[in-house]
Formats: sequence, C-alpha cells, structure tokens
Amino acid sequence: MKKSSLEITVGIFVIIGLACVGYLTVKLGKMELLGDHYYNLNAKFNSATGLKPGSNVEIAGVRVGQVESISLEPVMKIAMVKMKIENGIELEDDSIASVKTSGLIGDKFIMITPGGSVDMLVPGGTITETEPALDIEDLVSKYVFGDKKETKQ
Amino acid sequence: MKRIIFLLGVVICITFTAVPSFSDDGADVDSLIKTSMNDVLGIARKPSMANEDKRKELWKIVQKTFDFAKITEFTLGQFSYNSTSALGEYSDRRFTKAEQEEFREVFTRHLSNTYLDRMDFKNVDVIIDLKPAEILEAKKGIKRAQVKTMINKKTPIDYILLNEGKDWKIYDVKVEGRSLVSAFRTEYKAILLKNKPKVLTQMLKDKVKEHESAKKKS
Repeated sequence: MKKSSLEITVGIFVIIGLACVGYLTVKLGKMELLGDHYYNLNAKFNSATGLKPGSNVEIAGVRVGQVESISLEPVMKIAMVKMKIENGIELEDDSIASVKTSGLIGDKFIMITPGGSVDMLVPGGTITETEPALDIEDLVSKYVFGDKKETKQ
Repeated sequence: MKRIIFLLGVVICITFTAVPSFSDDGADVDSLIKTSMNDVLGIARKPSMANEDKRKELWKIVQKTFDFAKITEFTLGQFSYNSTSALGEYSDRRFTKAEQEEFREVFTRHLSNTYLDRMDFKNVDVIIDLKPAEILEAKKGIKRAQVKTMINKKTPIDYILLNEGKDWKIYDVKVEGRSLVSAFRTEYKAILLKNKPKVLTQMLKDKVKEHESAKKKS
C-alpha cells in the first residue's frame, strides 16, 4: 500500500514536470496549441535586414503578433513579410509598418502605426505603406566620413 | 549641415513639383519628374535671383503640385475628420472638417519653413540619380507610383505619388527609408493623446510665428 502511494506521488510529480516542460516549450517557442487566434497580413519592404520569423509585431510597444515568414518577392526583388496578427486587432489600410530596432543593437521588430482610413485591412491583406530597416552602420559611416568631395574642397 | 538642409530642400521641392496628369504609367511619371527637377534646379541655380525670390518661386511650384490635403489626412491618421476609427475616451481629439482645414494651412506653412526657408542656395551642384518609376498596386481605384532617387550617390530618397483621376500628386517622401508622413504621424499622435486638436494647431501656429519673426530680424 505504502509502495503504491509512493509510486502514485512520483507519477504525479513526473506528470507535473512534463506539463511544465510542455508549457515552457510552447511559451518560449511562441507556439500555438489550441485554435487559431491570429490572422495573416503581408507587408513589402525594400529591406528586411535583421528581421526573422518569430520577430515581434508591435503597436505602441505592445506585442500584437509575430513575423511568420520572410521571402523574396520574385518580380521586384523586395522582401515580402508575412505576419500573424491577433484576432480583434483591426488595422486601417493606411497603417504604416516600420522595421525598428529595440535599442541601438537590439532585435529587429515590426512597429505598426495605425492610420485613419475608413477601410480596414482584411485577413491576407497587404500593408502598402512601409519603412525598411535602417542601416545604423551605414548612417554612422556617412556621418563619420561625410562628403569626401566636400572635405577635399 | 547647411548642405544637407539644402539637399533636403531641393529634394522636397523636386517632390513638390510633380506632375500634371497624363494617361498614367511609369514613363509619364519619369519624364514629368525629370522636367520638375530641371525646373527646381534651374531656379536654385539662377545667380541673378535673390534667395527670397527663389523661395517664392519654388513655393509656387510646391503649392501647385503637392497634395497637402492628403498628407494632412495621412498624417492625422485616426484623428482625421473623415476617419471612422474608434477613439474611445479620446473621441474629442478627432478634428472637425473646419479644424482640419485650419490645421492643413498651418501645417503646410510649417513644412515650408522647415525645408524651403533653410535653403541657402550656395551648394547647388547636386548629382541626382533617378530610377525608373514603379507603378504600385492601386488602392480603391487610386493609382499609386513610386520614384526612387539617389542624391549625390549616397542619400536615397523615394517619392510616393498618387493619382485620384486628375493629376499625379506626391503624398509622401522617404529619406533613407524614413517616411515624412510616419514621422509627423507619430509626433502628432503623442501630442493629440494629451491635447485637443485646437492645441496642436495653436502649437504649430506659434512655431510658424516664431520662425517668421526670427526671419524678419535676421
């Protein structure tokens, strides 16, 4: 009797442990278990440098979704970013999507600035107003080295 | 610094000088943008013309060709009078049509002060690499186009145009990928979350007044 209750207790702890591991896996991996709480939106960027699947999509600093995939649009050779946005977050069709950086050297994420259009984006729709990733190194080098011609003069 | 401001000024002027309407398509936009660039640079390079007269000439082109109503609407976003986005407890921050018209006037003036009045016309040797126009996906029957340029081989500047059936107009400028509309939208949203529309308009009026009185003194 004693032996079986010990086994049951151990079993319960093992199950709790496995449940915790499962929960952490789902949370840390940003996976979804039950149902589909998101809808898809697309955005085309001249450059999506540093952005990767799983990167946050934010409005006013609040996470409202994530980047699902990034691919090359074959005709214009620009980045096509597919995002998952939480259901219930409705976006106007003149919203602006910008690739931003958390701090100076942090991760890249997409910030959406809502617009004011009467028409809303439908699932599968495309945000047409976008701002690509800013190349800080490029800007710094322009600032540091400036206009070489001007310097020579 | 002055050189950068001059370049930006030239670019904004070039932006503003787009385009009477033709049937549509990229080739028309291209040739019109080129003509506009020549006009703007022609004025900027006139040695006999006083700087103030140059600004007046450029401003005429600006007013004629830039869609300030559209840029105001896009800048105000959800606070624009014709937006139906819910504002909840901030519903008193939505502009009325009259307020928006008043805002448009002062905002236009503010843009002029920011770019045109800072041009010094001393460095007009700009190299502009103009890429072919790209016709973008139309939205609700409104034609859209984008023209990319590279100024002095180092500063990328894109112009976004729309055509609502009459003329091609530019409604956004992107310098190094950063959008003019987006920058002002973010800035003004922060103000409108704390203040009513009239306060924002008054703030801009004060800025314009301050700028003009400083101009008179100098």
